This record gives sequence, C-alpha cells and structure tokens, in this order.
Amino acid sequence: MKSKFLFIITSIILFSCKEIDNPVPQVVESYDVIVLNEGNFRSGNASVSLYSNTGKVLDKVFQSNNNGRPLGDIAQSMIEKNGKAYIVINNSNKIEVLDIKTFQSVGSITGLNSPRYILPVGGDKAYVSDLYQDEIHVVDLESLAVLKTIETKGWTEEMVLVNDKAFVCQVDSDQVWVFDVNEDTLMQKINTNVSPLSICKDINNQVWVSCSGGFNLGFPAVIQINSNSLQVEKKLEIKDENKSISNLKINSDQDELYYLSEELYKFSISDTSLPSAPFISSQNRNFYDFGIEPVNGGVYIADAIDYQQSGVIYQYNTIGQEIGNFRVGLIPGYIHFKE
Amino acid sequence: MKSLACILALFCCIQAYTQQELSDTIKIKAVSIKSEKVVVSNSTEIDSAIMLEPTNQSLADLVSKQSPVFVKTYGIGSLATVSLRGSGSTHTNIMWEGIQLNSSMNGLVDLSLFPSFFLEEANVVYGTSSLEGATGGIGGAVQMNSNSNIPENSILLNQQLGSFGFYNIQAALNYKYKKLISKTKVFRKTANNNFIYNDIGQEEFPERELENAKLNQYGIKQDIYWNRNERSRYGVQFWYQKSDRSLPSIFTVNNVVENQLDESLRVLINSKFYFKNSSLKLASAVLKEQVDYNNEVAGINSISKGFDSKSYIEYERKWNPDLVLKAKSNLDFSRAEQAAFDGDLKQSRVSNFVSLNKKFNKGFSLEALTRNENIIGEESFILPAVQLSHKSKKYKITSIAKWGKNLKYPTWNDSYWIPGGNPNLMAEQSSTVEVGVQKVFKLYKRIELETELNLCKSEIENYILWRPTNLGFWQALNLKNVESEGVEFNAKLKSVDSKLKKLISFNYSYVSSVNGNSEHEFDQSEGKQLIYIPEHQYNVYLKLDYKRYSFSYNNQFVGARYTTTDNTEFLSYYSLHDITFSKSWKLKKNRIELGFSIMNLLDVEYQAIQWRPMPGRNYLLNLRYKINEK
Repeated sequence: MKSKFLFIITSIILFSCKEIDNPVPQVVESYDVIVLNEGNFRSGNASVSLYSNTGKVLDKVFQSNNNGRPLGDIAQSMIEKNGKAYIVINNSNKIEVLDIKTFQSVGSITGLNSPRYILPVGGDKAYVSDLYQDEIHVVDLESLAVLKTIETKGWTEEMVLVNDKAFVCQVDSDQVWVFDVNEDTLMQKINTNVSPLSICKDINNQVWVSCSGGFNLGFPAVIQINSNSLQVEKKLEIKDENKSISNLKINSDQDELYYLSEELYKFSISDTSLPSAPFISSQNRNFYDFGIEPVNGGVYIADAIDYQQSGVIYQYNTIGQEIGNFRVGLIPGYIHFKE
Repeated sequence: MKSLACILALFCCIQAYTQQELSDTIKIKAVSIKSEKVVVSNSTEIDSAIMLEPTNQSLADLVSKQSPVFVKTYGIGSLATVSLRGSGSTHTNIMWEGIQLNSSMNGLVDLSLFPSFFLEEANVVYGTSSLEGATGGIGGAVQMNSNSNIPENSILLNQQLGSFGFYNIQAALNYKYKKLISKTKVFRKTANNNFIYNDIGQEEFPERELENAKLNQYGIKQDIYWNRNERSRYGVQFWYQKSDRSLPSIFTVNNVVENQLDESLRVLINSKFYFKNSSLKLASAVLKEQVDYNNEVAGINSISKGFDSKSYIEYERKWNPDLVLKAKSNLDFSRAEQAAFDGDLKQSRVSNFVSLNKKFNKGFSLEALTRNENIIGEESFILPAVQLSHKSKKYKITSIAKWGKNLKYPTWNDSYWIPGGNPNLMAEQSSTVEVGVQKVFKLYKRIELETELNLCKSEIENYILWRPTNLGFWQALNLKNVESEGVEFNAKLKSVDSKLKKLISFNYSYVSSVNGNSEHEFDQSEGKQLIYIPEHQYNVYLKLDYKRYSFSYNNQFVGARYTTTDNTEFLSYYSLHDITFSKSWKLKKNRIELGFSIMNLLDVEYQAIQWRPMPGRNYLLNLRYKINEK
C-alpha cells in the first residue's frame, strides 16, 4: 500500500515538473524580413522573428542573443538606421537599440512614457510619438539621449516626414498636426475624420492618412493632404460607422495604397473612391498587420490568430495569390523588410 | 411570531424595492452556460484549525493551500482569483452566508481581500453542487459562513510582524449575554512588500527591490445573534473593509505607477426557524462595493461603484427520514456606475431552486433538483441536475454520480463596456457529469484516514473572451467551447493521542481543460490546455501538537502552466514550503502563544504569472493573547 502511494506521488511530480530550458544564442546569418511580435499586454513576451527568402525562420532572436533577457512588453514598431535596429517597446517605455547583424543590444533610449513610433527627421535626430503623454520626444539616435519634448495633445501615433515637415497623427484630437522639424515647432493643425492612426506619403509628396472612425463615432476614411498648402485634397470615406480602416501603407513605387478593413484593400493614389472588393480576402483569418515587399511588390500579411499563440505570416504575390507562409511569435504586429 | 412577521415584512420591502426598479431595468441578453460535470464529493471543508495558521492571511491562501483549487495570484497582496476544475475565474461563485458576492461588473472576486481572520467556516463546493446557492458557478463555489455560538466570553489579540515591512494587528471580542451573542473583529494590516528579486528583465539580471507594492488594509466585522429559543434564531452581520494598495509592475515595465482602492460594505440580516418537520431561513443583504483604479502614466482614474440588494428564502421539509424537500427562492437587484457604461446599469433577477431527495432500500438515494433563473425583462433558464448515491455500511463506502447544467450570464463589462462591450453575447452554458467515492479507513484505534476520489467531465459552450479588433479596441465575443475533465483526490489522516496530536491532509487535482474548436487551419489551440490552468497540483499539510508545542508544515505544488494557447510556452512548476513553530503558555484562564513562521523555506525563485516577481524566503513572528480561554 505504502509503495503504491509513493509510486503515485513520484509519478505526479515527474509528470508535472516541466522546466524552461535556458535559451541558446542563435547565429544570425542573412535574413530578409524582421517581424516584431507584440506579445500580450503586461506579459513581457514581445519577441523578434527573422525570415530569410530561403525559408529559414529564427524566433526569439533578441532573447536568445541577449542572455535570455526578454525584449519587453509590446514591441510596437521599428526603424533601421546606420546598421542598427531601433525597436520601440511601448509598454516597457523604451527603445531598444540592436546591432542589425547580431541582434545583440547596444543600448536603449529610456525616459520615455509610452512610445509608439519613431521618425528620423534629419541627422541623428528623431521624433517619438506617445500613447499617453501630451508630448513628442525628440531623441538622438547616436547618443541615445532624449533631447527635448514638443507639446502635443493626447495620443500621438504614426508620423511621416515631407520636406522638413513632420505630419503627426493626433488620435484623440481627430487631427493631423504638422511640425517644423528644424525649429521643432507646431506649424498647423489639419482636421480629419475620427481617430487618424496611419500615415504615409506618395510619389508626389502628398500625405495620406487613414482614420479608423473610432467606436461608432464617425465614418472611417482615407484622406489626402497637400504637403505644401497643408489643405485636405481628397476625402475617401466608407459610409458605415460599424466599419474601420487601419494600417494604411504604400508600395515602394509610392503609387498604390493598401489598408486593412477586416480584409486587405488596395487602390491607386489617383482613385476617387475606395475599392468595394478586397484585394486579398481574409477567409476567417485574423489580419493584424501587413508589409509590402519593396523589390517585387508581394504582400506579407500577419495573422495574430487568437492573440495567444504563435502567429502566422502569409505570403502573397503581386496579384494576391497565396504562395507561402511561415510561423512567427506571439501577435505579429510589425513587418520590416531589411534595407 | 412577531419577529418572524418583521423579517417577512423586511423581505417583502426589499422585494418591493427591487420590483420598483424593474421599469428602469436595462434589457440584457442572457448568457447561458451549459456545463457537464460529474460530482462525486460535494465539498471540501477547510479545517478551522488551519484558518488560525499565521501563514494563511487570506481566503486565497486558505483555498490554495487546503483544497485542490488553483488560485491565480499576481503577487503578495495583489489580485488573487480562483479557478475550479479548469474553468475561468468568473466561473466560481464566492458565497457569504448564502449571498453571492461576485461583481456584477466583471464577475470576479478578489480573494486576497478576504482576511482569514474574519472567517469561521469555509468550504469549496464543486461543479453542479453550487447550483443550490446560485447559478454561475460552473467550476463550483467557495462558501464562507459564520457560527452563531460561542463557548465563553473572550478577547483575542493577535500581532504579526513579518519581512518586507509586514505588520498585522487583529482583535476579536466574543460576548454573550443571556440569549444575545456579539462577535466583533477588527484588523489593520500594512506591508511594504519591498522584497529583493533578480530583475531578469534587465541586462546582467541585477538585484532590485520591488517598488510600488505597498499595502494598507483595515476592516471591522460585527455579528450579533439572538438565539431566541430552540426554534428561532436571528442574526445581523456588518462587514466594512478598506484596502489601499499599490500595484507593482512586471519585470519588463519600469515606470508604471498604479494604485487601487477597494472599499466594501456588507450588511446582512438573517433568521432561521425550526418547526416539527421543517425549517425556514430568510436572509437579506445589502452590498456596496467601490473600486478606484489610478494609473498615473496612462492618466487613468477609473471609479467603479456597485450596489446590490440580495435576498433569499429557504425552506426544508422532511416528510419522513427518507424524503426531503428543499426549496429556495432568490431575489437580486444590482446597480452599477462606471464612466465606461452609457449611464447607470440596473438588473433584477428572480431565481428558484427546488430539490427532492428520496432514500431507497439497500443504501441507494436519488436527488433531483432544478434551478430556474429569470433575468427580469430578458431571458429565463431552467437548469436541472440529478444525483444518484449509494452508501455501503458494510464497506463504509459512499459513491455518488451526478449530472447537471449550469449557466453564466454575461457580466456588465462583457455587455456594456464602451468600447468593446457586446450586448449580443450569448450565455455561457455548461453541462457536467461527476462520479466519486468516499471511504473512511480505521487504521489504528485512534487514527482515521478519510479519503475521497472524484472524477468530473464538463463542457462549456459560448465561452466569452475579449479580443482586439481592427477598430483599435478589444471586444467581448463568444469564441470557444471548452472541454474539461479532471480527477480530485483528498486524504485526511487524523490522530487524537493524549500526548501527540497529528493531522495530515493531502489534496491533489489533475485537470485537462482544453479548447474544443479552432478558428481556421493555422489555429493550433484546438485540443490544447487552456492558459494558466495547471494540469497537476497538490498540497500537503501536517500539524503536530505536543503539550504546549505546535509544529505545522505546508507544501504547495503547482505544476507547469501554459502561457500560450498552442501550448508552446509555459511557466515552470513551483513547490513552496512553509513551516511554523509555536509555543503557548497558560496563565490561569488566559493563554499566550508565540509563533514563528518561515514561508518559502527553500527560497524558491518562481513566477506565478509571467514576468511578475514573487518573494523568496520570508519570516513572520506571531504573538497571540487570548483572555478567558475555555
């Protein structure tokens, strides 16, 4: 009786004693795509996946190449500059700076509040938008110092630079604010639809901004802004408050715009209305973000699935046919093609 | 009889008040939960001696160390929620004297806010057995009750001094005057919780002191009972508590400063009447809760106010020893204020429970029960259950088989939070099947071993989860079907010797709680264990009393918990050991007891929640002084 009892107890302990292995450094050879996996809010499980066109995928590159240290909480966005990757870690209040070849940390920009996006505005200077603070941080990408702050109002999101002017999405204000990047001063406020989130510029230096429409607060829209006159040139709306537009991006030729509204849509900068049919249908997949290949124009779409498991990147060719896929980390939310 | 009339009048007044509110009630679509589980043993009683252990500070400590229940805790003094049989945190009812305490807004109860010092009786009820109290307890229920008797007038003073600036002072006064009994309990607890941990979120993993984790709690509980005669008893209970705590960040977040203020007021009146072959119980409670959450970085200052009036009338009748009828009728009214709602929310519910238990020959008995839940102005549900049991006198074995349904209506946050609340949510529904056996072994003259083995299987449909959307906010959706099955094994060995008293208890549970469907071909979560539900866990408790010396040991083992739904990532298991030595001195009719406890004896470094630091070895000094102990 006693031996049976001991056997049961020992079995229970053995079966339930799963331990985490220490991460082993990964050799980063050539790669073509960096995928930032946001991870869950307040779970500290953001990660970086690398994909090469040969089909090889490396996961959790930051953690494995930095002695097991986690990347942080919510990997939001990144830029590549001077052989370094600057990864904005939203809820960890920092920008982690990595060697783009080894993915070993070379430092971080701290003293931020809740950073979202980073925009180089000339030299080593860059603007950093913020979710909560009524300020844009001006940082130095070499010294990794915060130089100053510029007053804003509420949540600032994506930014784009056109002729020494930074166009900043003011999500809470339903406006795009324009700053002089030499003087770091506000030039003008441009009214948009509710919740401007994404912004980019086209081949003619025209600025395009997408507005989600908020929670039944207004129509979602894509708005064209003249970067010289700072006037709205065109407003393309979806006349349905229950719909949304997000993740506005432009191709490398800067003449075709893409956005997500459950499915992926595409239209030309010369179009006068938004497309009624999707370019790529989601087919019950959870399209969370996407990227457009700069060389051949193919599209990579990130699927967060249930937000609590490894995500998938689907690869499509220029005519929207699915040609492959690969697994990445938790909630793939930003796709960067290596420059 | 006049008193009975008064109580009935009060009950009617509350009913009338709630009825008055019906016209204002906002219509909510019902969420029905369909659960399938087999209940073998109905409950696990938590030994009253264990409640006095200084290492058990809250209800969260008690149920995690003394029952096969998983408590998900965010750290010392932080939010602690319970998961029974692989269900979610909102699927366990927390009952106080038959009154459900779960928040109407989020369905949760923070067990860390219930000091074990205030508790007199506690037990865990599994699966469908919780239907007798209320609907919603798909996993089961944790029940807290008081005792209306005291042996003598007495005063208890208790002081605790521990690591990380922990200080706790408690006092209790029991007073008896003729048929009137008064029990007063007060406490004040403060802690810095500034323990040292290795910050694995930073380069080279430096040692850091936990910041922003202070705790300040105080409360008073006053019970008054009038045991009028053998046939009638009346009681009033008043419970006020306030908690002010800072919420520490995870390893990878540095500058978030969060604070939460919880204030609660609970007033309950009840009465019980005994007749020749029947008994009648009436209870009415008013519950007022307020939670102020403040996040300086995000500029969030959220205030949630909840007000509930809950009443029930319970009748039990025995026609003969072999036929017993139980009937209970609940009437609940709830109101909530929160800026994220479009105005105040109100809801009234009427719920009726009936059970009939018939004993047959050869030790068999059959119980059929049903609960009808009616959300006024919305949906109504009928939840049946049936139990067959057999008692073998020869082998001293009791066997039980049970089947039943249960339902969890969506919380107000699920339905009406702006943005993301979804008024079109369907009810979560559960169907449960359970079987179990209980046997008592007489090992020696004075040693008894009580054992219990339960198996359960359940299915939850329309599981509610919050998901991000392309609109930039999260939304509540009916997303999953969950299938769970499990095994519970409890053993308690008691030895009453004139010199050495021994108590050993062991609780083990195995739970497989898996997602039953997938979203598409790349979804790898189907058939995988739900996150933060350990498959294995056990706890061991040993207590030895020799003359005036006492020693206790507790081991709590929690198996690996997956943190992703595809089960590719997990947190390692942990096993914590606590010990307590104490010595008491008798001074005439008074007693002084000095105790010393070591928690996390082996200084285990572990994470209960991903990237949240937990304390290493820590100490507690306990001085207890009891005046006029019998």
